[in-house]
Amino acid sequence: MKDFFPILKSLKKQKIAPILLTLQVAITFMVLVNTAYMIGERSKKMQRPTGLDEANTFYIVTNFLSEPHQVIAEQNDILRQIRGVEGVVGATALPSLSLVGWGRYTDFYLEPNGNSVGFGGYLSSDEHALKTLDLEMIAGEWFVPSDILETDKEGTFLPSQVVVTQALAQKIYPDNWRDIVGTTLYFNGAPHHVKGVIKTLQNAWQFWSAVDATVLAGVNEAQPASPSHIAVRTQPGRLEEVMNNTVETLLKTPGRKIEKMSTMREVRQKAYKEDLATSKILTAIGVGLAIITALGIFGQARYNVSRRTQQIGTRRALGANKWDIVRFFMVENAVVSSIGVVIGLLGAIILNNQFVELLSINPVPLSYLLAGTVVIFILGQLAVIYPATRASRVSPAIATRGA
Amino acid sequence: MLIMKNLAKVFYADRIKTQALHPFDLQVEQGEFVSIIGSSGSGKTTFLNIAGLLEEHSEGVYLLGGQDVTTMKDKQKSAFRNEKIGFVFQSFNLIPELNLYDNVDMPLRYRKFTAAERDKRIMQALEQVGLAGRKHHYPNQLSGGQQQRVAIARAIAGSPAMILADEPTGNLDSKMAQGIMTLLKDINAQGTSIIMVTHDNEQAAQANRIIQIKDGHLSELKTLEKAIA
Amino acid sequence: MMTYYFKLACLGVRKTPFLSFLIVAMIAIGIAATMTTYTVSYMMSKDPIPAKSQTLFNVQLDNYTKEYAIEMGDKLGYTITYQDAVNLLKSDIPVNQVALNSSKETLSNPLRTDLDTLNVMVRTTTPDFFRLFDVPFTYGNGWDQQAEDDAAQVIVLTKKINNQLFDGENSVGKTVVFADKIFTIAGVLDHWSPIPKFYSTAVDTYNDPYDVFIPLNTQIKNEFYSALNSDTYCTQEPADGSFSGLLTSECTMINMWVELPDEQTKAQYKDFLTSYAQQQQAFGRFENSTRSKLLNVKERLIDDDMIPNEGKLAVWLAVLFLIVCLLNCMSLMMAKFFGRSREVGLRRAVGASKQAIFIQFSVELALLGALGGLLGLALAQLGLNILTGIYYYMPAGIMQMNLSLAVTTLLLALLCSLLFGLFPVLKASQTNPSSQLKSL
Repeated sequence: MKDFFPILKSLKKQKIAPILLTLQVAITFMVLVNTAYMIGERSKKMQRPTGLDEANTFYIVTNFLSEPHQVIAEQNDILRQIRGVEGVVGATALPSLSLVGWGRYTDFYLEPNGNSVGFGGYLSSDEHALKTLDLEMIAGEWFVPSDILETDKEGTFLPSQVVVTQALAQKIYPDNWRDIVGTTLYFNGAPHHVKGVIKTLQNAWQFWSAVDATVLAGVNEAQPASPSHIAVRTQPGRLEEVMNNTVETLLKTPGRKIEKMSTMREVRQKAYKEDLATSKILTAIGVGLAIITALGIFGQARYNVSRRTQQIGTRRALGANKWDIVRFFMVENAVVSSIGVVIGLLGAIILNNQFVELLSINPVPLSYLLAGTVVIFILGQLAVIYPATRASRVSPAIATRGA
Repeated sequence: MLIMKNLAKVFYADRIKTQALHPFDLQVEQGEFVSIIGSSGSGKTTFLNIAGLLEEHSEGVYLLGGQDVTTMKDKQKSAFRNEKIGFVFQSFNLIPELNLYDNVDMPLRYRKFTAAERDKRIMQALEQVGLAGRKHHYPNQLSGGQQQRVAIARAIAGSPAMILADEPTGNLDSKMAQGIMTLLKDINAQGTSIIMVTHDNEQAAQANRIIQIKDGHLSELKTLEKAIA
Repeated sequence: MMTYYFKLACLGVRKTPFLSFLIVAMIAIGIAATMTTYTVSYMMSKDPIPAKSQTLFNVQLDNYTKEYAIEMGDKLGYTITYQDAVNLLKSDIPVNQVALNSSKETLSNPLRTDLDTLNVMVRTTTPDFFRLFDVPFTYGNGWDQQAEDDAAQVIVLTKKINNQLFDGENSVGKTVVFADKIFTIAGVLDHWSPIPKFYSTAVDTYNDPYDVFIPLNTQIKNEFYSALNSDTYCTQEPADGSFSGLLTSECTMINMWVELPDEQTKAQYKDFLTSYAQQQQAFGRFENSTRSKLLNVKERLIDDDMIPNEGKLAVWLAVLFLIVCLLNCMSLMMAKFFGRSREVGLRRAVGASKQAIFIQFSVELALLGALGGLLGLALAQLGLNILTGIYYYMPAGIMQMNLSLAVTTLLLALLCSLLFGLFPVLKASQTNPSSQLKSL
């Protein structure tokens, strides 16, 4: 640390260049920390499981050809046809599906006229959903065939048997989520009996805070004006083949149309396309900034070395060894980085508050600030190493040559 | 044309006062050739800088061409340097990226001359120093003596009243040096005052007047022998 | 004198090629990042229909239940019920008025068996659509009120669909098979893609307009409908699941736009809406209130959060990026101009004033800025190309610079370099003329 005070003095004397560099480090620090945090949050969001066997699941939406009161029978027939396709593990009809961006949600009540105890997404299907959606029962029981109601209207309004996700159970019974099994939930004006709890099943909107809070009712619904999403799970690796065969099988019926068909992989990609795009842009800005700042530190150090050749030579002549010279530049950079980080810390907090308001995200946690500090220091030291070694090679003889 | 009265220069470095030049009086008439001698660190260069308006004096009065330069703003001073003074430096100070023509042109650019007027002056100056034929060459294609000739051409192109030469032959061998001295004397003979700083007594002796600076004190020598003694 | 300075500037750039290159590159990279992100943000949020953005209004009515109204607060739905649309269309106050719905159907050219049947997105609308939104036609026209009233089987194709089915030829008067029925082509649109697509829903903001257009009455008569593609919101359950049940229900599904050219007609229309709502309330509907709203284009875009914040965030970050580049530039310029203190000293000695040096270096700075701007413009184009890949789900039209943005880029580069170069140049021009010559 014997260099410390001379360094501070020399920085103070140069004034402008260190100030510029400090500001640069400060801005880089605050942008880096914020972008890293936003990328981190996004990737956490994108990695949440839907609960489905996504690699081997697709959904299909068809039209209905029959009269309104017969569509239930028609849907059951379609389901039978699909289940008959070679390689299908299971198929079930739902009003919407995880991450498709279109669906129903509802408020939950413990008493018919009480206060809402939470909200979440609504899905409904028959007993085949367990296998098809790869659901994991963690409390209570799954539907038996006799639990399943059939309707050609919106099933939300029917008193039914339901299972809920663990996230929803925890929201309603924070102390012991298993307590929910056997209770009655009220929503859309009807009582619903909770048979069991499933581990994970995301509802329709990836951007929603309650995306993991889902109720799955034992209702086989087929509305004439809004055909169901039929989820199909295939044996591993047979997705494409099964999709083709399913379409071929269904189109044997004259007038049958495929309204929509998509793999769950595509659904996920589409649901998170904006997050993914933003992450890419944030990464580009972060990396670009780090490179530019490193270049700035490098350039400044190189310029300093060439400007101070005489001084460095004199130092060497007066007994400083090579390492002393290298260390001088490294400590100098560390001092600049430290001041930059302190200013950047304040800036990051201000900037983050802006973003919190603009984008309703949470404040940056301490760990990101610490990691950012470490990154800035390493970046600075790496950038300064080459010019510093060059400086250490300045010949001491230069001192005697005169100005 | 140059009158200095009670002129002095004081430096402050790290709060230590250094008297670079003690108060002195000096008058140089139009057409005089004055040489300044003294050992290094004696204050020669400081004197030249003040005389050339490159540096400000601390005390006293400096009249150049009848005008008090003490109160001049930078703009006036610059214009004054440009029109009244020509500089010749020990290490020539030519701009390596410019050819001879453009080097001589440089000071003229800061005056409101027409292109034709500039061209006339540049060619005259280059002819006078005998390098008109090489106007498209670059400084690094010339010998040291030739480079200094270009520098002299640059100094005289603006027809200054006075040339300030700082060790003009310091970087040259004696043969080339004599050539430069002859050139300077020719210019002096045409009526331009010359103040030349030198450490070469032989050259100093070729001037009309010799002034010695010793530890910041100016004194006029009647003969060169006194200086040597 | 300016040409002399310019010559010196070129020499100055050549004298320190590496530093000059770095400075130009820094300006270019910073400018490119800023302008790339700004272009996207600007194109995402620009006025999609400048001539009419103040005179087109989205009609909103309050048919919420009392319970639902508490949840929604001040916000009204962007769609109204079919029955309200039919009633409101009877008004003669607006210059133009349209009701919009949509569907998804099959479409084919019966004479071209070699072509696949297409699944097309269908915009069902009323005749004023093309006039109200200033939609350009290549061939033919829209349909008239008579065709609308008759639920005629007429269709308007977009340029894209006409290219696919008719190789871009004039197909007006020819027939297509639309949803297994014969339709006559009334017109073919020229390229038309308002960005953002303000007239439909938020999820659709950056998609191209739908493929074909048919009369709303034709949709209703033929029951072309799929809940997935028709933007239906039900706050109360329809009486029955049939299509006619849906039409008479409180489910909202019609996007309604009116053109009201001045304040007077707007006030008049607002009164009309209020008295309509009161009349309906008397019939037992609109249990919550007789509120109604007219949102102009901008209000509609903001109210529905149709413009993503992501664009703005990127601009924010890019501006900080630019500042870092410019700070870097400033250090480089300090090095560049201080490295020239010998030249400054010399020029000052031969009589250049501080001002002259200042101008000389400023010209050099401007030259660097201009070069940086040009390079930045090229880099921004590259950046936009990359963004087109990243934002693959957005229309490519967003990732394009117009002339004013390109000019802005150049001016910004010049301004930034002069602003951040000012201090180094000022400092350099202050160099004491004697200090540099003394030691030589």
